[in-house]
Amino acid sequence: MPARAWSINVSYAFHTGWPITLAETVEVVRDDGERDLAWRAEKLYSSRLPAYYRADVRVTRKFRTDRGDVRLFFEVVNLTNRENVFAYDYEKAIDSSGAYFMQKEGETWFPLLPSIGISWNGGF
Amino acid sequence: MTIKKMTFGTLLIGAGFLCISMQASAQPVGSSAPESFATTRVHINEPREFSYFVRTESEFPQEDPSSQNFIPGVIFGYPSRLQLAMRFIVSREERSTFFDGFYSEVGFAFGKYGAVPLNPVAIFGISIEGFDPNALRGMIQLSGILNRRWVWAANIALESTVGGYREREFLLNSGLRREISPGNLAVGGELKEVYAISDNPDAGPPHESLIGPSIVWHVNPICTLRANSLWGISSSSPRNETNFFLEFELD
Repeated sequence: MPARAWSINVSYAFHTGWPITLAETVEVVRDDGERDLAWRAEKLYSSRLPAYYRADVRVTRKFRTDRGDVRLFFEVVNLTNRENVFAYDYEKAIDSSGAYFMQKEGETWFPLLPSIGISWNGGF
Repeated sequence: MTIKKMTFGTLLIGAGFLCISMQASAQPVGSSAPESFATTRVHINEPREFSYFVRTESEFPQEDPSSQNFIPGVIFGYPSRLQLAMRFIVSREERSTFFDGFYSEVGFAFGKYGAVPLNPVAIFGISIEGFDPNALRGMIQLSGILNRRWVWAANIALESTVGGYREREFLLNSGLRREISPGNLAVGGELKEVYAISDNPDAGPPHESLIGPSIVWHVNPICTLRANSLWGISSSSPRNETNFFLEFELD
């Protein structure tokens, strides 16, 4: 393929969510008689994470020099700012009536991520 | 899968960036190595070829403060069929600047492309997060061209964490394609097998097995498409993984 000045690269990756083992809450009684909550794992890999998808784009301008090729590029990772969950955090919280409950919050990969850069390719 | 653990994910993202650079520079005009597959790597840099790159990234999370990463990296192809790749990450967050990570990879080709059966390339990589070694990665790349029309490649990788949770992952990526219209269209299939051992409660399932079609299509002189769609099971659950790369080269 002939060397060109501009290149545009678009990539898209999709995969269905990994199987995951979630946790459920159970009520327990402490030594002092107080009620509390504990969590225990549900059936192994019985749930799925949400599907993952990500679109990236990169625009590159290439310059030919005597000392090799220089490329300037601008790139955006996760163009759609998709919140791709990779795990869940559990926290004990208190509702308005004073009762404890477990709060589940997804941990996500990076958000929309713009970047710029330069690369130099040559011989030595 | 260990990819879901952030520390291991950092390694894989690093490897991915390096892989992109290597793929861009590893197949210059005149190279005897075949074009890469969508997800299976083929060969290392040409001897006496080097690449230097630097990039800056900016993150703007909705709740957390913004951060910037400064990432320089180099790839050297040595005459003795050795390749060295390094990438540093320096981060700036909330008015503090700190060294966030380092990834280095050494590759060795056992012979010039076509000189040794299966064209083996051995790769050893190390990931350092903060100042602590975080993960080790060993890989064997194999590839070949059969009857001028069939191209195949296989990557066999073993990754292991060094500190924290004990995690090991064995990965096999393999591809086979036939040149339907040489230089224009090649179709075939790719295979991915993953076996993982982990003490991390957030780690994914221990086994994943995927297979599916793969295509490399030079649609016209300015447009190239590489894609695959792999289907299979992940610990008894159905699973799909689709990768799509579109490249435009313009004057």
